[in-house]
Amino acid sequence: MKILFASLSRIGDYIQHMVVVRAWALANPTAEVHVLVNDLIPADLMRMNSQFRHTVLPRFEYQNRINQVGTPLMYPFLGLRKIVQQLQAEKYHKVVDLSLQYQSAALLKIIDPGFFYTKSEIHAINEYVNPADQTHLIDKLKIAHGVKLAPKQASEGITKRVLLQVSTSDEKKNIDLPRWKSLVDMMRSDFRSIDLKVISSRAEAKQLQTVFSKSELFICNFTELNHALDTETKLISLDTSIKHFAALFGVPTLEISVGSSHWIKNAAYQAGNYIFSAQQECRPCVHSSACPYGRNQCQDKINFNELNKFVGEWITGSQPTVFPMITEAHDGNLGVSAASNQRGVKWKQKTNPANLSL
Amino acid sequence: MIQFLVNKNGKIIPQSDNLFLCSYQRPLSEAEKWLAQFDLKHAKDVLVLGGGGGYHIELLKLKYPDVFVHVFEIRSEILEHLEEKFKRTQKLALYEINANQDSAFYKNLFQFLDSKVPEIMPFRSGWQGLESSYEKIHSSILMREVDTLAQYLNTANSSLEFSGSLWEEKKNFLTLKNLVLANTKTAHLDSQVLDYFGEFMK
Repeated sequence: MKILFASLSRIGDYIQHMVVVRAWALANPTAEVHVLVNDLIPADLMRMNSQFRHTVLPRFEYQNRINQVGTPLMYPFLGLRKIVQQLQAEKYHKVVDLSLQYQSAALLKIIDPGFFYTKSEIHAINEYVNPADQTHLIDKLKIAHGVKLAPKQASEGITKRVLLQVSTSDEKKNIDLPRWKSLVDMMRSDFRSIDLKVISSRAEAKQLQTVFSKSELFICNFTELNHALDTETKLISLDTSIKHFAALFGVPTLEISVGSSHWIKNAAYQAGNYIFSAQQECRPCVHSSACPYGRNQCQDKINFNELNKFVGEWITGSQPTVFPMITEAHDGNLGVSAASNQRGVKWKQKTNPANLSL
Repeated sequence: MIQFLVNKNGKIIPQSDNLFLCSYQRPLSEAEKWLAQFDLKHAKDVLVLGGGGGYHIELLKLKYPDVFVHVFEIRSEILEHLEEKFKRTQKLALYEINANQDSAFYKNLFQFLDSKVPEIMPFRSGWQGLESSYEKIHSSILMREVDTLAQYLNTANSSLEFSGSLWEEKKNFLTLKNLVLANTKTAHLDSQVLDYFGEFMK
């Protein structure tokens, strides 16, 4: 059997999709698995899944070049036609859209005119766009594709290093860099024995150096980060691909959820992670639209003094006294529980319970 | 008639009717500025339109040795000079093109573009004296005018059909959006692929 999985979303989604694909391949050892991704996915990350043949759809390159005066008008068309023809020639027995988006479905329909969403996939899409739904993406996909998966427990051990991922590509999910700098300074003076580094891609290093010194940064790609994610490391991260990547290695993570980030749906698929989630009426907002306030005011709901106190307890292995949520495995799915004596037990969500279908 | 002069740094500079076909004083910095205009991160093939003194090609091969460079040049004397200069260079092909092209030339050109999809790298210093001939070829390669697009569609392996409005387009710069809007939707793969670009533009 030859199968094509389309993962045409962002890096964090790709990492989660590959968890599902690996589980599917394990259950179907004779299948030949191919993966279709877009050009956001770094090559070194794809190499970590090199047991599956990857095809890259340079969608963002096309988008950039569509109206460039020096590019022949038909080039994007010729490029896409070649990719479609190559994929058609593979004659897949099955084509699966893990992205669950109209745009990827439209492409798969060209590659395989017989492509359709199953009832369970349509159910997963309806659930995903329902703001009241609290099911993790991987838990939706595993049901839709009959895969056995459960969140693993974050590893426990002494902490020698804390890595921080302080920026995301989505403005709404960010916290102002000077606030991060104040937290890092606070942590550095309070926990002197800990090796503290801010993760930075090469592309964002210049911007981060407007606030952090170069020596504070760990400039890396996924391969280099891979080597740093060991049992003596903990991660503090916004809603980024890094936290999903860290979950692959069992790295305990403190997730900071602001803007459109959902505390369960978008959490790293791992039990034992802590979540500081900004409590604001409009949270979580819609992914694709800009914050109506201009600046995402929900970030101010994250109290960095509390966060610093929590980190002290967390890295020393003490019983945390300050945290709103911890991820847990409930019946094989990812859920969260709240510390009973803390504010921020599941807050009242301002959501419309109606099912929104695509 | 091409003359080859030697500048104060010992660089050979071609000249045609008192026009230098690359910078006389600073051919190397001219080549650097030229190359800096292009993003060749993902390029496998490039089409350099205009051979000039060959310094831009030399730099291109130095920085991107794995990229296959196809040089299109009208003047035969320049081609002979480049053949000698690059006789040991791998992944480089030189093509002599005529100033007045026939339909067979365009058919070959468009087949070449379809198969290689090379990055287009015009070297305008090398066009001096023959600007209109080079411009005509460059314009055909870009296919962004109604007549050059029609020329492409007539000769290329494409099953696209467009509504009449496209051919009455007054603009001299077509965009892919023009094509998507004028696409006569058929069940053919080409039509479906073109229509998919509409998704990007939503």
